[in-house]
Amino acid sequence: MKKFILNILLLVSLLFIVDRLIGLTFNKIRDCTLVNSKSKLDTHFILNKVEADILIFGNSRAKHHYVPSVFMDSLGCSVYNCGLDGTSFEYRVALIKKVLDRYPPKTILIDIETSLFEDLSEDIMKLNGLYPYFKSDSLIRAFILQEDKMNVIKMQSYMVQNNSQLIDLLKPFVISYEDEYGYDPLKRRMKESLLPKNLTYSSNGKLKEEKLEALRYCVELCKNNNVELIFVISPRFVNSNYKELKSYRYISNILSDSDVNFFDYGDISLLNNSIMFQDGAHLNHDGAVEFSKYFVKDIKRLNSKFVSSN
Amino acid sequence: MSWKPIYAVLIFTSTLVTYVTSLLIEKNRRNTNKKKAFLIISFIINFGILFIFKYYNFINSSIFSLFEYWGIRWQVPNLDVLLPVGISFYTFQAVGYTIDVYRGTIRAERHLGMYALFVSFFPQLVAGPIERATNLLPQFRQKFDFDYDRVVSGLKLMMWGMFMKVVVADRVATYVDAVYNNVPQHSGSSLIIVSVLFAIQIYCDFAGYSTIAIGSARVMGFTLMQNFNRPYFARSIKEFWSRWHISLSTWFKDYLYIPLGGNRVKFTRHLFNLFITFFISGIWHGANWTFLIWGSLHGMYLVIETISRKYFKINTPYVFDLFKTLILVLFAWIFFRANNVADAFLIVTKIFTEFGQVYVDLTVMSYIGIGVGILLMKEIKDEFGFNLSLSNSKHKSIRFIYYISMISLILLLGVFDNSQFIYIQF
Repeated sequence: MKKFILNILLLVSLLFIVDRLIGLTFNKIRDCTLVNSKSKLDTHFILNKVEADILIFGNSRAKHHYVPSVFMDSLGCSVYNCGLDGTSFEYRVALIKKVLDRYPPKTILIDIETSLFEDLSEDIMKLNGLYPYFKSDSLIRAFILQEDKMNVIKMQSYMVQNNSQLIDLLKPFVISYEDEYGYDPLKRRMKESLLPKNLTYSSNGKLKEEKLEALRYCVELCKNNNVELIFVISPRFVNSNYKELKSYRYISNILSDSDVNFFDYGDISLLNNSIMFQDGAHLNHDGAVEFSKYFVKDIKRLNSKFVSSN
Repeated sequence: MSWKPIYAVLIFTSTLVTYVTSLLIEKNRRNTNKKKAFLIISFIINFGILFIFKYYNFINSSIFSLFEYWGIRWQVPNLDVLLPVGISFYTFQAVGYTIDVYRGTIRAERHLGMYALFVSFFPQLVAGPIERATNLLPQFRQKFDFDYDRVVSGLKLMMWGMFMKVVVADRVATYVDAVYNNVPQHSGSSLIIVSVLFAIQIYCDFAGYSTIAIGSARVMGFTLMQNFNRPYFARSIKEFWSRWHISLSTWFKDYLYIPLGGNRVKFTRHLFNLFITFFISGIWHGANWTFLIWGSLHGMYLVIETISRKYFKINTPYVFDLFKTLILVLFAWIFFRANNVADAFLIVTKIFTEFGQVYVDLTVMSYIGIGVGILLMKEIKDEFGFNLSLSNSKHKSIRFIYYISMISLILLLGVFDNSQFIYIQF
């Protein structure tokens, strides 16, 4: 028994050292991607280096729907698409806060789906990409602890923080992407015959309070930093009942009360054409260009900083 | 999935019924009719509970669909019940015990606490191995001292099981689920790849769990039966079933196939016994037509194999046998995994007719490559007896490097988002 306990203690000690070394190594690699890599490590770049007049945040629908070059040509300012696949609303807010700690862009544009604020929605926290920053930012820490109380223990391990990050860390050194200011074009056309014609969101009349709190925080943060905030619902191909949901009305009211611009293209007829979509939720490149051109006209009509910058 | 404290009543009922009926069977061992009656009571109650919670809604819905097709209204409502965790496993374990007492293989356990422990032994309660009373019950009466080698070997098993589950199975599942939940959108080429990956997923998920169960029992001093023996190295379907879910296949052999006559009957009856055993095995796996088809396929494979072994004695190379068996098993897994029969047939059709772009996620594929690569090395080493075991090296430094590497791989590459073991749904 004594031999067993001693060996366990030895193993744990060695694991602790290896854990720290791996954490340091991964952080070093992460920082190297800011200077020495063929392409960017998205989250790290956004948190530490991105700088543009207009920043666009959201999940995969942001990443594949907003073409920065269209905005730049039309508005004459710099634009960067900070959309990230598979990320939650809290993830976006955390990124925005870290960016504002460095500098205030002129405008922040957030792609949103109001249905994700419903209690029954499947937009769980999805904060894995922010785990390595658990100890470096209080808001990120708060979100990660909100996701799971056990994270206060799990995040003490650098290996757990860097879970499922290894390949993404190495990719920027191996694969080069054409830099389209964060935008990632989708190339395929969807098979319309395979889609349901209507999408019905479930609702029990309750909303996710933590997400609404994050929304209010985000609005307040941008106001305090004198950053123009615009919320957008970008197009989907299928018809859905999203406007009947409590979350839609609630969020519209919050944004209206806070004087925040809100553009809803969720049921846009202009792009109701399957050749513009890769699947029911994502525009392909042709659709993204058309949507970006359409949206940029609406931005120009706003009495905003864009008009004056032209 | 299925955790409400009230459902503990079910395992308690199974335990009590089989405990009491076994005592009564033993008390009436000279009275065949009474013995049989108590055995039947045990069957009715235990399989009745299993039927209600696992199969009632499926049968009701199937009848509803059939009658609707004929234009007849069928208005029997479904039951609003959850599928209790481990119900298929502990029911079979308890019923197996009753049959053993009936046959005189084991004396009835008089201590209710000991017997209850046998039914609800936590390492194997949720997803097996389905233990035999002859193996496990006597162990509860043994006294165990701390044994360094036994505890370390148990912990090593748990570590390897965890690797199989969270590094391999759960990672592969992210790709498999993306394709199987959206079959019409994917090409036949993607579906071929995903069929191979699902075979890896289900093996690592189930064998990983079994390994953790066996390892944790070993740490405490108990020996559970081996449940997997590198099944994808089998050279025939018969051999596959001697290597896959061994506790279930031996249960069906001992308590269904042999009582039906096994192979000691006319040849045609033998073939029938084989088929029906696997047909029912398919039913055990789940309340869906896909599982029935899966079980029937394996029954059919064995029937054909038995016929060809009897009438056509052809020697084929090892590699041919290996790949032939693998392809047959992979084909059957399509039905096991598909969400419904329509999807299963769509997958089969697309595999043979629609080659196109493969759905690729480089990141996921890279992780899968690492996990499967390590798994394959270990499987080949164990199957062919190569004497290269890092975990059993006589050098402590090598052993520790192995432990730290495995734990690091689990923490860095494992998927920890509450995904369940596949077989937990049974």
